[in-house]
Amino acid sequence: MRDRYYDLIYEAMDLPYGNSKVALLEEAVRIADAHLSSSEAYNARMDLTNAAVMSGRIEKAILSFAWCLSYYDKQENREDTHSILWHYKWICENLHDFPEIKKEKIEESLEDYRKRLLENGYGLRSYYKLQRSNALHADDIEKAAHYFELWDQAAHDGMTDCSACELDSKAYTLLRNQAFDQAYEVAKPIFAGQISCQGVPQATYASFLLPLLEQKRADEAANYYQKCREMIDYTFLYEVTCLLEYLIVVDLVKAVSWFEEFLKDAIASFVPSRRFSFYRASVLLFEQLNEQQLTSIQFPNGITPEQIRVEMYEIAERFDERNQNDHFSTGIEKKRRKLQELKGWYEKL
Amino acid sequence: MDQFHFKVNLKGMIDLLSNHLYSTPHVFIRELLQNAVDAITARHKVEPAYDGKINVEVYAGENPTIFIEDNGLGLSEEEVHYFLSQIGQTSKRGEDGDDYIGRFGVGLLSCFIVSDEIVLLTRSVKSEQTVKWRGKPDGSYTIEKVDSEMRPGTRIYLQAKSGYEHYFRVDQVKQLCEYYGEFLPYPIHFSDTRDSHRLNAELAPWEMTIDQALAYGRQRYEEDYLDAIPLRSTVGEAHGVAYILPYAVRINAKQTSRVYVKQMLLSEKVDKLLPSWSFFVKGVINVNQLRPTASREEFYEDPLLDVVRNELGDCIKRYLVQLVEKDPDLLAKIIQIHYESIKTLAKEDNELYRLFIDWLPFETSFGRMKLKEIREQSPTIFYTPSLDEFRQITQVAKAQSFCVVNTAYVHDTELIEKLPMIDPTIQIKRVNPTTFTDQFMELSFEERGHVYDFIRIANIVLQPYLCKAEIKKFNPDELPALYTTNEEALFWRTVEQTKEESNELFSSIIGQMSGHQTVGQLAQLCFNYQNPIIQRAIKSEDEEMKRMIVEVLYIQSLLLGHYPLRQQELHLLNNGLIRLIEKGMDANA
Repeated sequence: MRDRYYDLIYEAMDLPYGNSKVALLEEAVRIADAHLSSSEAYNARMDLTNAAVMSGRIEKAILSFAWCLSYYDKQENREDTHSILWHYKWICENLHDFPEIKKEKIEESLEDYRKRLLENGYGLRSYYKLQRSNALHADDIEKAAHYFELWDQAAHDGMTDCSACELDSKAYTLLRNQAFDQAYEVAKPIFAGQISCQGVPQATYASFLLPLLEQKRADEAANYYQKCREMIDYTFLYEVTCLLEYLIVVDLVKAVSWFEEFLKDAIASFVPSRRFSFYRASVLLFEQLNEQQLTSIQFPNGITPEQIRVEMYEIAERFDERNQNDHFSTGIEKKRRKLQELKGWYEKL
Repeated sequence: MDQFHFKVNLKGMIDLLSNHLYSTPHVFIRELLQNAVDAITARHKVEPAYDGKINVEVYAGENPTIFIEDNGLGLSEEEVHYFLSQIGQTSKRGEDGDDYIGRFGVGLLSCFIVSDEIVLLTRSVKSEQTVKWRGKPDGSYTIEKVDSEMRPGTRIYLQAKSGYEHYFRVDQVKQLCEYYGEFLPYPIHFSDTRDSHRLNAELAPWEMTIDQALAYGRQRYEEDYLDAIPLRSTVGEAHGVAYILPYAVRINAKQTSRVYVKQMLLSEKVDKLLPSWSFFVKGVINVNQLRPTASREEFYEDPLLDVVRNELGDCIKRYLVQLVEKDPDLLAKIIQIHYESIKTLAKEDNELYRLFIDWLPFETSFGRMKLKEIREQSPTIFYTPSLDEFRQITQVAKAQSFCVVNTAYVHDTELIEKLPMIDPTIQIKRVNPTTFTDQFMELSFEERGHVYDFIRIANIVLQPYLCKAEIKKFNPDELPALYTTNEEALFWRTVEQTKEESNELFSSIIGQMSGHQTVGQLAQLCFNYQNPIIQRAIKSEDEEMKRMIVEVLYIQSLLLGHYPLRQQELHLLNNGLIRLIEKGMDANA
């Protein structure tokens, strides 16, 4: 059984992120739980947490991480502090994606993370960044700006994200604040290929597509679209959704086939916020199509555009209820207007 | 307003170069060769028929010295002042800059990594005067006119700095000259007291025929490559060969190419020049039109690089395409070894997909088969993207002569799902365990009466394991029971387990996260009415016996489906077996 366990771990290591990788590690966890030591179960779960986060299976990551954290806390010699905190950071970053998880719980876990950072001699830079992303999620721009400043000024340490991710997040925040020029300046080293990581530059390219169109820089947007497309090799619905929105503006036929390609991933996603963004783009796509075009779309068995629309509203409601505002519901109309405006301009080109 | 210039601390600069910019001190040899080559190229501009050559010698001793000589353009006294006294200044800049390898003018400085003094003797073709320049790492230098006769060209003497003598060993110097300069366009000779022999090759792989290139690969890289694909990019002025590796490489493994810029080795580990899907080849490529980074070990990521990469990738694609006609045996061999890479490629590229899909292997309930063979089994292709489900299905599918493709591996699902787009006559159908269990024969009402008790007991036994019992008729008869589950059921098992084992905060987070979802399907254990053991169990009057049979069959079907047993289930196995043994002994007593 130990051989099988290590085979699975090594096999998984070779795979790109995605469901296959997650499945192999889950099996390694099952084997370790049943036949091997708890430290082997811990190691497999840490790998699983990583793979699940990177493959968009946050729900699975939360489960395996919760187990790991509890195991770690029970140990007398806590050797794996950095890894545990690093994984904890990922988890905190994604909790708000589940509308059923209450605000207080999210705050509690951030606070727990903050304490653990200080206890282990780390600074708070990574914590501020999380608070910022949490505030952005709920569209609390003031709070986000507050933490953005703290984040920007705090010192780097072992818990800070890689410099590519940091720049990407910085540019993203500036884009959310409508500060395009600043954002573009920040992202320059990424576009020039000077720094990159697993998720960057794909995410950066994706974030800049619509803003570039708003700046009337269609050629640049087209170039980044192409690059982003070529690089997406594991499915993060975020990039997929940005590309879909871009295609709605510039090329409906491509938008439809892009939608067809990824709908199944959106349906399979357990993460409501990611499903929501994809569904929102999908609904806005449907609205651009006439009857005949709409019926040409290949839907998986039993799925209808109407269902997607209903679920989109339903998820938006759940988020707004938790966040106690109307950011998700009104965001639909905002996005609709934005795309229409851009489309009007683009078609005149 | 007054304007000032920064003062650059040369010592600091050299430290920077040696420790940070270059990955190894070896590069001083490259920089020396480069200066020589560029000087000769410059002379060629003026005298096209001129025979350039480079000569290298090593004087052993306590302070070993390297001597390198070229018969290139040389420098006049003025030029020496101008070029050798300013960092970043290079005599190669200007309108024809693209013909030279060096770009940074810092090349000579790298010599200070291994030496405390550079002595340079040079005579320009335009002058009769020989000039001697002597530079030190602190930035000071002297220039003197020398009376001795010298043919136009440049000679450099480099004496080893203490601690760096091993870089000056004869074998080391020869090896490095070969390493960097193997394909340089001018002959490089190494001379010692006995003789002088040429170090670099007469032909580069991209100038050879395919057979020559393969022979070269065998001899130089000690590898029996399957074939060599000629590579060409007009935009990048790139020429090269892509050797097809004779062994499988891990998917996503970074395959690096050996890349030359204007025939000087840039690096053996360039991974940006060929497309990432081409991990089954090793490239040996010369590029004239791409910009290396300052460390001269990689290329700048710019639009030109994208174009060149695509052009080179197209060469590999075209090669594979023409192989279908030209050498199907070789193609079969390549696919057999590199099918993962070709699958990646086919997923993205419809033309290649059409060509190769029939030849690509997949795992099925009948073992490994080519898609062509799978298509011959049935007009509809059945597949499952879940490894768990495939395991559950495979025995039953096989018994029913049903070919199911396991597409749990990377790209396989996409490849199968793409089939109808390429050939509308092909049907595909995704199956799951229910597809099969639904086809199992139902029991008659009379039979249902017989099994009522058995199923009731089975459900009680299986309840703690979140498993539901049912009974049907199915093939093969020898299979007493089939365990089926789905991802959702497995997920819920994990949720329950983790809630109990995690801390209070996370236990409540998990509770909230999963609160919205309703518990889905349970796992199922489907007994086979046609199986003799099941028949006997049904008929048995002994309730205890029925219970034990269910327990053991549950465990057995978990094992058959390769499910690792949990603690609880191991207990069940141990107790069940012991009780069965006791039963058997009691019966015999």
